[in-house]
Amino acid sequence: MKNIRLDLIYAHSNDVVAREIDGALIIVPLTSGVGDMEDDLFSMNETGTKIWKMLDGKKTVTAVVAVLSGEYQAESGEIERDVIGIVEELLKRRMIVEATVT
Amino acid sequence: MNENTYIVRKDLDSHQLWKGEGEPQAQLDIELTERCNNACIHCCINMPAGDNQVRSRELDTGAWKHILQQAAELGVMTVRFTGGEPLLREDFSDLYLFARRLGLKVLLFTNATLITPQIADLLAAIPPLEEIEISVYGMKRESYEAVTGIPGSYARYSNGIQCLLDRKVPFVVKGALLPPNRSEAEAFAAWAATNPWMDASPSCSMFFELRGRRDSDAKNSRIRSLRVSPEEGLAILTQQPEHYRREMADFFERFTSPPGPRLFTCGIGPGCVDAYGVFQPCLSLRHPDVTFDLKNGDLKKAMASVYPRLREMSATNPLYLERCARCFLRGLCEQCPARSWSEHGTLDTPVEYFCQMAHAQARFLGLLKDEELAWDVRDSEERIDNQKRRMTTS
Amino acid sequence: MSKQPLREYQHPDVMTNDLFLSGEALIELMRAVHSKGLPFRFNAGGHSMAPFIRDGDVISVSPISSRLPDPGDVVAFLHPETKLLCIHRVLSGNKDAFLLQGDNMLGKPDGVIPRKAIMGLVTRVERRGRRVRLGLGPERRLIALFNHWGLLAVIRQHAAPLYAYFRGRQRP
Repeated sequence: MKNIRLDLIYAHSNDVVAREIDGALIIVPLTSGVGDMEDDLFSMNETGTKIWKMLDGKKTVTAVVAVLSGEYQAESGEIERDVIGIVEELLKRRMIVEATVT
Repeated sequence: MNENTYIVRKDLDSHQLWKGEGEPQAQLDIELTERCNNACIHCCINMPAGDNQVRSRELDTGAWKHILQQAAELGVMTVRFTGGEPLLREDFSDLYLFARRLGLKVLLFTNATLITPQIADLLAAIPPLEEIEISVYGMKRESYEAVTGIPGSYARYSNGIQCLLDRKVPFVVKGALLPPNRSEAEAFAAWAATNPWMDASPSCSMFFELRGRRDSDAKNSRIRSLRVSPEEGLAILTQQPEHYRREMADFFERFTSPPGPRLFTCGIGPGCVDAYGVFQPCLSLRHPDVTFDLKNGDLKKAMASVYPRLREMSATNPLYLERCARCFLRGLCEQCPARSWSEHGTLDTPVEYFCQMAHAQARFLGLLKDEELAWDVRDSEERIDNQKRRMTTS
Repeated sequence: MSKQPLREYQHPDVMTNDLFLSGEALIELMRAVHSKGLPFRFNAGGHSMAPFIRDGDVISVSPISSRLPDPGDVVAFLHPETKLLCIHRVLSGNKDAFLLQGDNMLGKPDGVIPRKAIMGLVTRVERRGRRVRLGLGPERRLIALFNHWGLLAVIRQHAAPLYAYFRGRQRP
């Protein structure tokens, strides 16, 4: 499992399409190889959706954690652990990529 | 919640995604063209591939993209590309990619004759997310081309299938029971069993629909002559008589009473946009009273204008009210407004062919005496109970 | 700047499964159709009943008769929490309540669902216009039994190694 550095910036990959259907975020694979089954779709709960939207090619992981911490009541370190965990999963499934610095 | 996992496999049944605004639509059917490069003897829609007059009336690329965009905005998950032969469109790849980039799944219905290595590469790289459905008209050149009427079509179809197999693009096959391929039913089933994506035996159409545009008495005559007769249809359905009886005994037991005058008891849909931009409640129903030309409004307006009205619609034809409305076989019968349209140009005319098919089945199951008409039966529940009892004691 | 009160935190998750687009309109319509004694046909969504019912299938739900659903029957029920229409299989039950589970949700039953939440019986499944017969006939009781023992997934895994190869899901 790749180590997620807090100072890295991630962006949505071109291999998926994010859709909002009636307020819910649905992520649809575009290319082959995303997901375990060829017809897997993904959706997120509210926190997951917020994190997804912040992985916009501009914010570092640290910044994402900071925004969430300012909004939600959670135990110390809990939010950071979760953000790192989600980023790992999204990376593994090719739903996000490291953003290249221009 | 989970301790350390962030990917959760959940049954999304328990998560509300649709909050009830507008019409929930999971799928939209799209007839890209009515033209086809085959000329199958039983087809209800085909126009000649090279018919330029027909072609000039078809929607252009921009218009289709606008419709796909609207579908995505309405929350549609899947669009079915059908026709005619959708791959006849020169902009097929363009429209396919456009749909997929909107996050739509694409269900492709095709005869496979126009699947080139390039198209197969595209389908492998950008998967449609639904298994492609391919109709198979015969297991060899003679039988296949006796159905399609186009020399060389069998070789093209075979190449198309091979292109998909080589790249492991998922597809399923289905047949059409016709005189030239009648003797090949077993061979077809055996070959279909080798298809890794088919989890049941292939379906086979045999109660062919009449022309959807009601454009040719001659073609309708031919289609009628190709349909299996009620006797033959029954023989096919009851090939394993005990299995059929057991299944039907349970099926019939679920029925309580005849449908009454309400016409659309089918749940209506998926909606369909035809090749010229007219919205229909379903693929087969083209009656002008229940369609909406998208020149007069967008897709959302079309659905809002059509669906609620259809749900309230009642039959007015006295023959329908006497027969179908009172008939306990209604759930078994293929009768519906779309069939009434193609057979008679109305919404509520009983179709004799389906009536005979349903009656034949009911007689076989002992639910009707020979001369009895199902809509005259007043003790259907009792008969069904007796039949179930006979099944369990035999 | 005054500090806003922090909201209750919910762990993020990414759900992989397909969608079940259902709504009040659908349930109302089904009730209306059932009140006429007719089966209600509509597009099913989701993977929880795969492979028997697949996403996009047209299923017919018949009004519940006086006969109670048997183990093996597939029923439509109103999820007590979300009030959404769900389609799952009966594992067991008595006259008051039933244990339901999706065929594809091994080890995760829906819990005990009261009799009055059962809205109908699935009596027909159509895929692309053709009837699908697996799972409504006598084999449905076997499916319920297998689910109880959690065997269905095991059987699927071993029955079709070729299938897995073609789907590109060979494990290293």
